Amino acid sequence: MILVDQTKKFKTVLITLKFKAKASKETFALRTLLPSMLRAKTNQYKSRSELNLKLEQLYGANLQTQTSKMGVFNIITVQLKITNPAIVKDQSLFEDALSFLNEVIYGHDNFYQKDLDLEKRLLIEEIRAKENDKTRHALSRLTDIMFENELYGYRTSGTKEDVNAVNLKDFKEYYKNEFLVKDELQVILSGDITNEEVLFVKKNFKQAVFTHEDVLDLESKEINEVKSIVEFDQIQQSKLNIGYRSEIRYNDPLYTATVLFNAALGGYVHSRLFLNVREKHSLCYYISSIYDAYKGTHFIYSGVDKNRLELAKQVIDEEVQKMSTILISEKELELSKQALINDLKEAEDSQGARLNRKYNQLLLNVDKTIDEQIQTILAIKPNDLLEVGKRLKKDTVFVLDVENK
Amino acid sequence: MNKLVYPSFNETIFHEVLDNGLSVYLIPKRDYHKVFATFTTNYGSFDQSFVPINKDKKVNQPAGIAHFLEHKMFAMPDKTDAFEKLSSFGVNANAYTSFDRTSYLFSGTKNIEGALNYLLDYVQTPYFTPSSVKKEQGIIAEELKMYQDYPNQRMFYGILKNLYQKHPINTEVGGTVDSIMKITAKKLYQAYETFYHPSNMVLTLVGNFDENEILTVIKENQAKKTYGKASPIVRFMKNEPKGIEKAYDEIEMPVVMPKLSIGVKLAPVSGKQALKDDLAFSILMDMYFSNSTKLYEKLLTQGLINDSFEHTTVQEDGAFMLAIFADTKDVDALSDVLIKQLVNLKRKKHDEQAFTRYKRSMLGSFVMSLNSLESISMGFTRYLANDVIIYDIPEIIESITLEDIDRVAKQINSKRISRYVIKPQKKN
Repeated sequence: MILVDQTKKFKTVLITLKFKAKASKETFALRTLLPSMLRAKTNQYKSRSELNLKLEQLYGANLQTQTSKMGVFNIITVQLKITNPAIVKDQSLFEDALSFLNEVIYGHDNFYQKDLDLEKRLLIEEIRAKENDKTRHALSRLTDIMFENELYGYRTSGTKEDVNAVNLKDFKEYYKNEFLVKDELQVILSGDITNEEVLFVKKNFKQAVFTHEDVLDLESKEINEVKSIVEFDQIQQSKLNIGYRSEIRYNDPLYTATVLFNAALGGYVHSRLFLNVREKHSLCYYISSIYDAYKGTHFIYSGVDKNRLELAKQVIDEEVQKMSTILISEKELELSKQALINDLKEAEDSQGARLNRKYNQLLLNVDKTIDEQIQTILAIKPNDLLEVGKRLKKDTVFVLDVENK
Repeated sequence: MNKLVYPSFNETIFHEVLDNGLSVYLIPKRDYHKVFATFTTNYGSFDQSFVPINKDKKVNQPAGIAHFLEHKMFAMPDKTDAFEKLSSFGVNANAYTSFDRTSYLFSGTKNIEGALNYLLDYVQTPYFTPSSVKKEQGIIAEELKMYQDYPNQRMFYGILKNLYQKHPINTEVGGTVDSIMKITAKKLYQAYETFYHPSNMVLTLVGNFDENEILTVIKENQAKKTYGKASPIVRFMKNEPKGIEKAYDEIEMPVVMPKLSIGVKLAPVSGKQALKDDLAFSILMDMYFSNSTKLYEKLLTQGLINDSFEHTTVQEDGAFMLAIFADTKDVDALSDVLIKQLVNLKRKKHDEQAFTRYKRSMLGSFVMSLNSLESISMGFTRYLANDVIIYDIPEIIESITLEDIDRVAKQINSKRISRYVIKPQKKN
């Protein structure tokens, strides 16, 4: 399937390939290594430097690859960003770029042990380096613990052990017999695209299709008691992370109310957590809440004064409690509605955000215009948020705490 | 209004200086939904010593006061919070402080006039009290501690500290937990009165609006406020010697692999020339260290670098450095190779083809950055400090020659190279 976002607004053209497969923990490491191997070298570009040199020749084109988990799918994204051929006055740029992208995906008669070893090393070092960012690391640890034995709890890049276990034979087989054959490819073109260019893409990526399958991650588990885990590190500030389940997913009638619930609780600077934990009690610099609608989960994360951790936990509990017992005022709700609507409209000014919206809608099998989405947001009532609050169940508290404080 | 037209980009910039001295730049972009507004004062962490407005004696203020002031700008006399109020217009509000400036901004898709009026009003309403200063000290202390837990941030300031003996670039923008405790409401007023005079400020709007209507809104807003005549601000910066503070330093942190940074102290120039030199250095570094070079591939195969390898330049008032950052298993082996290459750059015969390719690539990246209103607005303010309008950048890139590359390469002096290393902490 080829999706086109034709617009003259941007100075770049994005050619995005999405390879979709069912996510399974056995293939996470393989599928993270795969795009790195594809862009390391090809039949035509025999080394990393030759390949990067080609990108420079394409007016500093930008090649990004990423493996991600969306609901029950594992998606490999390969994206080439080029300047609008009209601006650099080079009409062959689009076709050049597309042939290059084709070569990156399909130009692999063979793969070599030393390249795989190098990519494995780079990936392991990247996985390890993520631990340097303690905010992010703490949130990952919460996910590990809260979703133990669930697909959601496995890191998309696999573990160090998973990556180490990948061998060349399996890799070659996976590329040839799984990735090339079974992954579904969607191509998304965005920018000032001509009809001839769309035809050219069709010719180059004949196998692009899309079949709809359910994307939501329905796996869950009963919460008998709140898990509370503390780990220590040589840091200066306690990283407090709390996970909740509401089981409210995209297809739930309460979905939009949940997005607003998250906005009112901790999505913005007008939100309750920011106003109370930070501004009123001056306990932290950052505090935020996030909602994942593919899974129906919520996270609150903050970096708090190591000596006042208990107070922070207490204030957060109180705020969450209030959201499920006391009706939010129309005025406060309106703030979150307007913020959300503004974000929706602003996203239209970003090429990447438009593309994500299009692709998400495709996966979810919905086709709503921005205006329709705005109408849905405006129709939400304070009582809907109360319903959301009642469904929220605290699951796990994870603290990365200051050693020897 | 003055009108600057850039046909190759299909962009127009309108400029006017108001009666009170405020400089207004308007960049209409009708095919976008949003408007991105930035209200910036030429006052940042560098400005610690100055003569306060209407006084004749120099004062020295604590490090981090500009950033502290930015935080406190949101407290209003009626006890409301400007952040909250600005958000109530349905726009995204933010603010940031850097070495040389402080910016207050919002982006939004409606209520632009209301939000703009409020942006001007809250920034032009100082309100500092001892109790609110005390409360903010708690929040900012947490912010500073959060940065202390970020290894990359520590590396960045670490290498600057190694290179600069006296220049305030050797201190973090936010100051230290100790220095911010010395901040008082009185000091904040002193800084505010001096640096937030309209003649020291620039207002920039990019996005979907009518330039005449918006200028009227701005003019009417400013006409309601009275400002005395401002004389140029007298600022003091310590004289920075040419030599570096130290050639090596290291700390321990809970990192998984050692982190190396190599910094080269360069001769600072100012204005357009500084920008040109900066870009020339970037091309030079790309020619010898980017991921399409032989050296990069070799270091990668040897296991000495990974995807974290990067180089950058920092060009500020009175300071100019280039730096390389890398996570590596062998700090010494990697340092040796990189320093040798850096020192040898002045003797290299540069490849013309490679030079042209990197120049073209730089041009492409610049054009790509013009997609987002944020980067246009940020870039605009940043380049303005060098007296350059953002859309003139391609011309400057084009004007760089191989001779320029040769000239800047000769600035790299082996005595002005320093290393800053973060080693993994030994577990207790």
